[in-house]
Amino acid sequence: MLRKLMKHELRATGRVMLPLFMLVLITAAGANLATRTLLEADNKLMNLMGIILLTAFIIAIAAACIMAFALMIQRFYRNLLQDEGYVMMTLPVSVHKHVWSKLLVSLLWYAASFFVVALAFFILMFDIEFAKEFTGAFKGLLQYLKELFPDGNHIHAIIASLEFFVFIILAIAANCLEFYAAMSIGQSFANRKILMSVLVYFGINFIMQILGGVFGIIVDKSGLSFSVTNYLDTLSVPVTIHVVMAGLLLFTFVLNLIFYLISTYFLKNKLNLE
Amino acid sequence: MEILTCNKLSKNFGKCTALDGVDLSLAGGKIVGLLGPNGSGKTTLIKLANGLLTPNSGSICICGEAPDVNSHKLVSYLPERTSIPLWMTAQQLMDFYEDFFEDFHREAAERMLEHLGISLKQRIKQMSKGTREKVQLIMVMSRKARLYLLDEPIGGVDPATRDYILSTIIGNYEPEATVLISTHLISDVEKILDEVVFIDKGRIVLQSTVDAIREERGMSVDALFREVFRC
Repeated sequence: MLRKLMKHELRATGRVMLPLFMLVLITAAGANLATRTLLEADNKLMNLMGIILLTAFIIAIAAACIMAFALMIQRFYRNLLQDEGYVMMTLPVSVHKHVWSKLLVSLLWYAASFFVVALAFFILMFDIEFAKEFTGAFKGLLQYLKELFPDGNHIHAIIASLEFFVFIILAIAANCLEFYAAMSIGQSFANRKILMSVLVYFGINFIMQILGGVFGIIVDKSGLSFSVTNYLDTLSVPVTIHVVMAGLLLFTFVLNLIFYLISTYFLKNKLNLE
Repeated sequence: MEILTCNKLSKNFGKCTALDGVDLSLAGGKIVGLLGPNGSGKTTLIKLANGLLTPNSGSICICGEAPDVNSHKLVSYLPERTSIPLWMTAQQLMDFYEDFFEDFHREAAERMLEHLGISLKQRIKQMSKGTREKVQLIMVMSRKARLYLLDEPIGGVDPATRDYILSTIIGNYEPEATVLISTHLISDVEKILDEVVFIDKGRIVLQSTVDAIREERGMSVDALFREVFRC
């Protein structure tokens, strides 16, 4: 059922995102033309055309990034908690699968937006010189990683990269689930559901900041931070990176879990579609 | 077996009581009218049966189970408003229903859409309000469900469309299934009803067969409704 939910979710969102991606790539080609010829020309009309093409590119990039974010919120709210929710929430599908479907498709569009925007910048800047510079920069990055993980211990570099990759995904997922949790709580109120969702969102952030502050004070006062720093000093650089990443991964995983449990609890037990 | 049972079911919206200790039991193989004036609690009861609202107290069961994934397999629900995704074409909507409901009969849906001259490639958004309601009803009635919950299926459409909708309901429901039709347009639906439930201010005030009303009280359901709910 999750696969089917995702299929229809991709249909619903793809009809917005795919044309936008096309637009980004086309305007990137236009912007490339602008920077290479139009803006350099002696003709004012051609200069103006160049500025317009470049502006169109910037707007298209911004639209793609904003749309991936806006769709993440809009699809959850409109498809599950407004009129379409009457159909969606009476499908023989658990709320867990609804949340997973929305989350996975949102993550997919974020990733696709990232790649399309990266590709667009390649197109914008592409010429032979740029290709050389890019290869040089990539080699530089590899060199830096080699220095960070000496003695030919490449496995650490690969694991650390994977850890960072998973951390980024978990961090974005936590951001999505935080919005889902806020909307799931907000819809359970009898009135002013949107306002309540916004207030709950800020409320969650406020609570997280308070807890973060309290945690920081406890760690500081108890001397735990001193012990941790001392402990990390005894470790080699690659192991320190793994330990720090493990902490970050655990923290974002717990955040995901909390927001997921809040979302599914409210959708299952406090659904209030009026 | 009882298809729908409510036990002291209550639902409040803030200080407003929408349902107040409703006890109700519906058996299979009947077309039942859930009749009451506006704001009497009809839609709330149907939403509770679909799990779209959660009760404040009491319980509601579909074939012995609380509204959940399993009950959704048994219930075919027509909401009071157009809730099908408007961006879809009729074809995509059928794909959607076919994917999620094993009891969805695509051929039946295609036949009814074709009968109405609705293009499968046309987006729901481009259809008139009446056509959208017909498409939604066709999807709902193309399922072979145990319980059909139809919330105001004839509200807001012209008399010719009302006739079409009612004939679609009669022509497509499973004989052993129960059809619960919520409406305040009594005279239009009276001819297809086996049983009626009158609801007022969140309480059930009458549950009777249509034959009993005619024989024992010597009046039509419409006339009895006007008498019971006289302002």
